Amino acid sequence: MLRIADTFVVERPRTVAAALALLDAHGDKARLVAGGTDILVNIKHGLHAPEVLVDLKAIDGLRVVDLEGDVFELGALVAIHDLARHPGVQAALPSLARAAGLIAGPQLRRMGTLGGNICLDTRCVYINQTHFWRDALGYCIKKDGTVCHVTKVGKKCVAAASNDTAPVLWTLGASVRLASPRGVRELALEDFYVNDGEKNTVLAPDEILTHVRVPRPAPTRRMAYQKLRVRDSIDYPMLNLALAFDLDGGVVSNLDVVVSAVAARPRRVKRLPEGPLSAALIDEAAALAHKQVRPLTNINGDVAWRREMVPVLLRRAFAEALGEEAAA
Amino acid sequence: MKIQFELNGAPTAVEATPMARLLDVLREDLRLTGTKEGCGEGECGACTVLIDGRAINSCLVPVVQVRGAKVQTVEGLARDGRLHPVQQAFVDHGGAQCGICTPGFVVAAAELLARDPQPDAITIREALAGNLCRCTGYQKIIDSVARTLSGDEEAAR
Amino acid sequence: MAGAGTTPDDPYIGRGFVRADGPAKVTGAALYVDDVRPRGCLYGATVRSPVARGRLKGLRRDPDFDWTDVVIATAADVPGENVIALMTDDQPVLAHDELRHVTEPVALVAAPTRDRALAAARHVEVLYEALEPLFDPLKAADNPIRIFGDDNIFSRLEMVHGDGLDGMAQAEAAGARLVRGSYAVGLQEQLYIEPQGMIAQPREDGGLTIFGSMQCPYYIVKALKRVLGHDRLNVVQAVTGGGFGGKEEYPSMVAAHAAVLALKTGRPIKLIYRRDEDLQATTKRHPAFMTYTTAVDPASGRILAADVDLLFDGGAYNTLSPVVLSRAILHALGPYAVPHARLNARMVATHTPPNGAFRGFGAPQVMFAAERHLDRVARAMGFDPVALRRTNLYRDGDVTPSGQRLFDVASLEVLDRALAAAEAPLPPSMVATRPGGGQAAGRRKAGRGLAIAWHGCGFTGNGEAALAGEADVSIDGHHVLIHTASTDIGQGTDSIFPAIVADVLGVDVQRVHNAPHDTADVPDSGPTVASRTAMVVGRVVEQAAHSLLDALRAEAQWPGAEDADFDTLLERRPSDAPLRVRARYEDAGAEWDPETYRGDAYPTYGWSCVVVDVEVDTDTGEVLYRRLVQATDVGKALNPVLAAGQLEGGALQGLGYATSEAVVLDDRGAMRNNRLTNYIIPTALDAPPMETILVEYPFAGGPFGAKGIGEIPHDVPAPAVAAAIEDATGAVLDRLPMTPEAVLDALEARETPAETPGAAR
Repeated sequence: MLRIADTFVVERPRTVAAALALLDAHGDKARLVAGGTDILVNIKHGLHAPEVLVDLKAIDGLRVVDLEGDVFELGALVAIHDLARHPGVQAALPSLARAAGLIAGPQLRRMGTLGGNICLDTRCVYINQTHFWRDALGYCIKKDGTVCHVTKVGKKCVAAASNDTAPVLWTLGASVRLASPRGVRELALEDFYVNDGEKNTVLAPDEILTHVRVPRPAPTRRMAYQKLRVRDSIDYPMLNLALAFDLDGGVVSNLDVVVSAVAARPRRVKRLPEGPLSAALIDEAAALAHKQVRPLTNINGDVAWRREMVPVLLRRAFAEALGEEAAA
Repeated sequence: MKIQFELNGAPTAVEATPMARLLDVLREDLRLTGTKEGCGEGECGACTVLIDGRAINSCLVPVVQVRGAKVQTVEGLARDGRLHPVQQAFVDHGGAQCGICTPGFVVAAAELLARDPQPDAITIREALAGNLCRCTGYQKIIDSVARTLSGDEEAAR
Repeated sequence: MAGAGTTPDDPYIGRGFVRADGPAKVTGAALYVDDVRPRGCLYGATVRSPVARGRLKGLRRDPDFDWTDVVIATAADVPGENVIALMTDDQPVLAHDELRHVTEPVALVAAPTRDRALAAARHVEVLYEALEPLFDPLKAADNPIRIFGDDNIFSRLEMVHGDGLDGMAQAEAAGARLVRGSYAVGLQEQLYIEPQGMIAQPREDGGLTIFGSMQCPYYIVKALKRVLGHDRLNVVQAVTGGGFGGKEEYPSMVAAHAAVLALKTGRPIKLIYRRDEDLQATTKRHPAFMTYTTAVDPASGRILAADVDLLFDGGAYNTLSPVVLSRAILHALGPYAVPHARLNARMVATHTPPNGAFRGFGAPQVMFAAERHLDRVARAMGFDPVALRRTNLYRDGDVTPSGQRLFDVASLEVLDRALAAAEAPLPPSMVATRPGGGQAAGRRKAGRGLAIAWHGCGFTGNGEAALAGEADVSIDGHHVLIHTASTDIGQGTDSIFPAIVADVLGVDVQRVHNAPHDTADVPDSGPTVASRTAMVVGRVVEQAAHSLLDALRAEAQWPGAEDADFDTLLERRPSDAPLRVRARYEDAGAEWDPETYRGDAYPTYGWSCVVVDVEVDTDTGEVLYRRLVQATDVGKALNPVLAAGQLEGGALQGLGYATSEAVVLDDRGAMRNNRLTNYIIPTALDAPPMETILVEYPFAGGPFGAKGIGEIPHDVPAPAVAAAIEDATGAVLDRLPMTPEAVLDALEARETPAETPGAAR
């Protein structure tokens, strides 16, 4: 049907150091691939045209799931399926396990990786098209063009972050470890993403995301993940929301809500309330989320409907976090 | 480049560009056309094969990634001229109609049954939720998997 | 199962005999068009219009692209007439003057690999002068922007039944209440999982062999005779990965393109559509706008008169649209007896990709309206929806709007049996609660909805008599071959026909096979459409099998041959000369006037009742399917497993039509959601457990009493879902698809008292 152009070289390094050497040698002509579920489709559609593809799958040591210390360590190559099914992750980071289990369908969860989901390219109805169709539309800012078909006037790409794990990890205070020839740096996830749909991360061309580090949640920490999509399988989020808070003696504190599949960067809801757990507190949080989050026509689903779903997902996330999930 | 892997139990070597899709290598280089292409985007499951026992979409796997791996396709499920029990069940219980999605379903179902020989309806639906079918409404596919005979029953047939 | 019998006392028919192509399909051995690679073949690709409407100015090849091994064909390369022959000759093989819809084929390329062909097509630029397009079907008729004829109307039908509108006035004067409602449905994609594909292979005699994915080999013969200007061609069906009408007429286009390239290059051409291309370029179900006014007796609930107006959008070319409109108007009142009616129907043209055949063929649109309208009457006048249906359902002796008197009507039985089955708890082994992604913990409301369908089996009116479809049966050594153009597209023709013949001859079904569907060999048994294959062609096949026995007996020179069985006759044949007999459809004497639309519209009707259980998430508007029960009159279940499977598949397509399958067009009329992750058909997690009850009211004209069942399951799941949503929440939805946002809007409207449901006039 539509093959992958074979105009490039594939390298299969065995170590992170070897992978970095390849990136160093080829500069921005190189791209990384792990599960391949995102980038291969995009290469096919002409969104990327790398000369060298660095396949990370042969690297040992990036499949670790270490839940022992005060900071959990998850390797970038952990398969999404394994993350979703890992009993330790399910127990300690239930919102992450849930988000992983809701990614795509069974086959793609076996192929895709945690690092790949964190680095998933932004999505937009005007970009996730074949080259022919982007051509007919006159291209767009994200690739080959100068206009944005979503905002019509904007100069900045607003393609949507569509990763399921990003909002969750953000609420978990996760950081990512990035290796480069300059050494290793660690960045909070919220500093990893930027609000530019063309490229929504600060990952440098010569850097590799090797690990995700998640502080061990306090015993009082509650968390949840909600995803909006029409089907129960296969599809990207039309909207998603992660929530976490401490609940101690019936009092909510450190409430954190991150909403995504809206803009290029997941969005943290600001000025959230604290205090005794109550319907009023949840109402206030829902109203704030509704006010602050405005979906665009960048991805599928009616915009007004998606916006109305922001407070709905927030309420559901509360219920989920409190173990109140109503029987279906 | 030369890529070696185990295909349906037999050592196999192909000369292919590393980014060739496993789907194309199977269909065009190895002429195993049982694995089908419905979308080429990982969204329909018609191209499902097993890599090291895991069901994946072969339209999104560069062949270089199966180097040294065990690949199993629909052609490798039948043994000694006998259909795999789940294949027999699809034949007996209406699991196949037009048949274009059937190899993908059969492979995904075989993977499920290998780890859970007696799955309930919801487990079956979850395991097959990456495969699209437009003919059956899924009920006869679910029935086929649920009614797949165990090894002993199979032997008694 | 495989052990079903071989004698008339122990027949195959009625049993779940194993489908003939089952083993090949489960092992991957079955060969679809993309599995075949002729020696020396080139790959084709299509250059398409980027605009909805324009004046074609030419093509520009990218000078930076390497064109050395690429061949380009344009309208000038069409050897015969540049037309796809169907109802009218309006649609070209390749555009040569005006571009009438986005994705319209403009040129073709051939290259040694698929990648090269696709790349080359990308580097051909279509040059055009843009013209103002017409998209709105409601403004299409008589619009100064002309697409078809002098009024943009492909076809127009009017029917008057009883006293027509006078009946309405009389009823109103006598105290009947008028209820008026408007209903609308959108596009739907067939979404066969195998995309369109065709191979054209030059023959030594200068002709062509066409091999590919199709429903109707003789449509392609008819079309290509004119494209080629000669008839040196044969068309062979490959194993076909689903059709649902989408491979009725469109394959003529794909075949014509492959043929043009094959003639230009002298090489075999393989042309397989990409998924996005298939979604954007090929035919869909017609959108429709429907207005119903009925006069209803307030005491009994009897519908006394009806006035119906139907407007269908055909897209840029006529395709089969007039026939779709015909089936629509004939089914428009649903399975209900109405003594007086006037029905108007128009099919208009717009600058959108042409719409065409899709399972149900106009009936799902109008039966959504008819069933929703009945629910509106119930709501407005305080009737119970089921009781209202019971009052008005056709019964034996009732007369349809075309004046056809009905017998053996299964309407009440399908209703009673579906209701009874739905009352019983779902068997525990089938329970499969959709786990919910973001849907958990909502305020969910459960509801149950019901709708009833009738569906005319076979061609309309005297269509079968005019076609006079033929089938051959021949002897091939120990085996028997059946020769028809009736393809197996998943529904099981290649298993059903052999079982019919095996039972007539009293032989093992393993010895009876459908010959390849190759027009060089098979007679024209008609297209594989219109719920006609098992019923109409199956009957001709049955007759051919009897003729074979007759022929064997006639050539037998020995006493007692007239009572001998098939094997004895075969054994004692005087020679092993080839023996092949032909049967032809026998006109049952249907009275039909195509001018007035009076008479026997269909040979017989199937009846079906669908009960759907849903949960409506009142926070998100999502509709979750919990259970679907259908009781369907199939005449005779030739193979209960295959019959139920076909009915269940059709029902799920109907559920997709109900809630998730929205086609979103951009400002060029191009389908924006052109992927399988945004044109949303249900997965196994979205589909409900389904129970299917086969009701058998035999049809004397079908083999062993069988009726056609291909289309009826798609007719009323959508209105049943709408009724279930209403039952659960009180929200009224009269448009398809009922997406979450539409359901939420309806829930909010319900809370607005300004709305007067079922506004009486």
